[in-house]
Amino acid sequence: MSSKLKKENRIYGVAVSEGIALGSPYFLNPIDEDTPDFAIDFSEVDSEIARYRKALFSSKEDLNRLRQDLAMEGSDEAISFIETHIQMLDDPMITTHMEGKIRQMMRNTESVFRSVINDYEDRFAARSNTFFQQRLVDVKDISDRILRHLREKQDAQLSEIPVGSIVFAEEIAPSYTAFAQAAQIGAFVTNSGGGNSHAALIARSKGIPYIANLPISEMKSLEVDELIVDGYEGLLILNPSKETLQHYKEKKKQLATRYQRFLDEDHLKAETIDGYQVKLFVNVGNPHDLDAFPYTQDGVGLFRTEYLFLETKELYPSESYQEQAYRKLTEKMGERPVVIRVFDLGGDKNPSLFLDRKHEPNPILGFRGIRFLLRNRQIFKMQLRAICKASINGNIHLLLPLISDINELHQSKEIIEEVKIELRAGGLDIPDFPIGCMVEVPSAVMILDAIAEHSDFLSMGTNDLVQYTLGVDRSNPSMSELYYPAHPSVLRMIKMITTEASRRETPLTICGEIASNTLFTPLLLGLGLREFSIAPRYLPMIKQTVRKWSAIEAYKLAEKTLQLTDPKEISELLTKAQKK
Amino acid sequence: MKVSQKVKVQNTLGLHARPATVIARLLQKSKSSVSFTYREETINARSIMSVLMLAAGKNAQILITVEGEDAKATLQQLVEGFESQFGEISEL
Repeated sequence: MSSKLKKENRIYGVAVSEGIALGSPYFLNPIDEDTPDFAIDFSEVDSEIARYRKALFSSKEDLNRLRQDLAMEGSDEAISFIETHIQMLDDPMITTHMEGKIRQMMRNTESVFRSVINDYEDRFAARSNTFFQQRLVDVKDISDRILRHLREKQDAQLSEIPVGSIVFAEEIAPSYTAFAQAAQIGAFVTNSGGGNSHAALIARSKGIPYIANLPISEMKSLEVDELIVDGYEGLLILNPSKETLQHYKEKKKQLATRYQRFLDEDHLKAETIDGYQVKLFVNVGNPHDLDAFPYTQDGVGLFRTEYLFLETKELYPSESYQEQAYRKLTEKMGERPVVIRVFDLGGDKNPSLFLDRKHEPNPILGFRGIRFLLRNRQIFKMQLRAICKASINGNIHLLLPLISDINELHQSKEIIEEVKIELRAGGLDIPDFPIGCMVEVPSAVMILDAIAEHSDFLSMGTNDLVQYTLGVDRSNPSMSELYYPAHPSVLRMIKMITTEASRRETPLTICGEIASNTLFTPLLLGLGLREFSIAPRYLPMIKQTVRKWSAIEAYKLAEKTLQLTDPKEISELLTKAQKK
Repeated sequence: MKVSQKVKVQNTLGLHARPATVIARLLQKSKSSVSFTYREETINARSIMSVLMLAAGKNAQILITVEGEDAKATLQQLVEGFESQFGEISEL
């Protein structure tokens, strides 16, 4: 109200993420301000350590999610930073040394962690010159991330931010931006962090404007009611004049046009020129993932339930917590299907909480997906109970991850049946929902006839299928050039799957990253896929591509592609086809 | 078995985060204990943070010490890693 009396003030920083935001400031407290410090009792040591492992686990989950986002952006340089951070979470200094210190010092995890990191920084400072000290940035980033996960308060703080706020902070951890929703955060303004910081990359992928290199601490004392962030120019305008405000409102409107066009085209069907219908489902890790992209979709094609582990401060999400999350989705979807994939833990998402940190020499080939659940039946059954209960009022489909052997399917179905019988005995009217398998291991492809016979539907997970087919660890940056979704072996594998599924008339969805990539859309259509499950934000682009093609042309493209043996030629062919 | 050898850091930026990550990953497969000694400080080579702390720049002389059943093979791999700059192309 008093802003009329205050003079407009323009400050230039570094433009990090494009976009325009108008709003009120919100200052995030730095982590350092109130790290709790207190002694713990002998009996509390184990639960402190469990809490610490949980924070490491959540940190790793953030980073894995981040890596996936970055892979979509194709920013190899940033991915290599993330790889280092993921590896650092297994650093003996972070794992065994820290846990030993908690036992020895008998103080709360945060204060022990601080002292370990401070010791480290002191030793570092004593040895090296300023050039090397810049390397502390990585250590600082990873330790802040862990601390954030230890602090429930900070997480609460994020949800307390009023909608549309311009968030000011000394620096923003990537995990922070990873969970920020464009609908809630108007913009980020920070002191440190540049265009290549991880936080910046995520802000860009989420469409949140971001300016860096501004003196945040000095701004705290300024009286500001209203401000504008111009992420194109790196410009922050405090108490804008009426004219300025008008100018930026106009500009914002123009920017909304593109998004509006997507919404205007939202009623159009996803069908090819010659009238073949394509179903577009979405992949979500959280019921809120749909909020920022309110496009019409045919349902949820993949709910990655392991992300529920990130949201709870307990060791694992409780049955009622899970049930609520599933219900939230089914309520949103109504009659439309919601495919719930049971926890895909293990592998690179190392559930150290449950495995008691038993070291697996080769986790990607170890206890993950259904293998993990069959050996941790309590967790499996708890999740099944939550899914069964939610299925009473929703069109739920249950999806089993990493099936590589027919017995895994049989055993899982037996356990599901057991849970249903128990609940029905308790008077609940549990329906018989469809049960399907992920097809993501080559062995499953080779015995797909047997698997399909016992499955109500199939879902092709190309991310893992590519890595297992090529024998290339997709999380290993030095192998990234060998990780080729366009490899002929992968395409032939996909062809085998579509052929077998259509022969048996088993519904088949594709849910890997290539389903969200318009470069592959015509090829996938040509290979016979009619159901895509994709990241919500890519839905309009995929639909546009589907509408540009006829099934006949797509089929011809696929035929041609399948004859090629060199992945480079395949990439070239697809790129050429995209331009048509 | 215990073996050791001196190597020279050839990476332009020294032993920074990327080579340290490659080293940690390489050693995941090794069953031996591995340490680096530089300027009188000896650290666990599996720890990225400790390797960074050495602040070993280009041309630094590092003493690698490996002790365990696969010591020889592990040392061999590390020496090759240092020579190939851990896959980093030198920017000249």
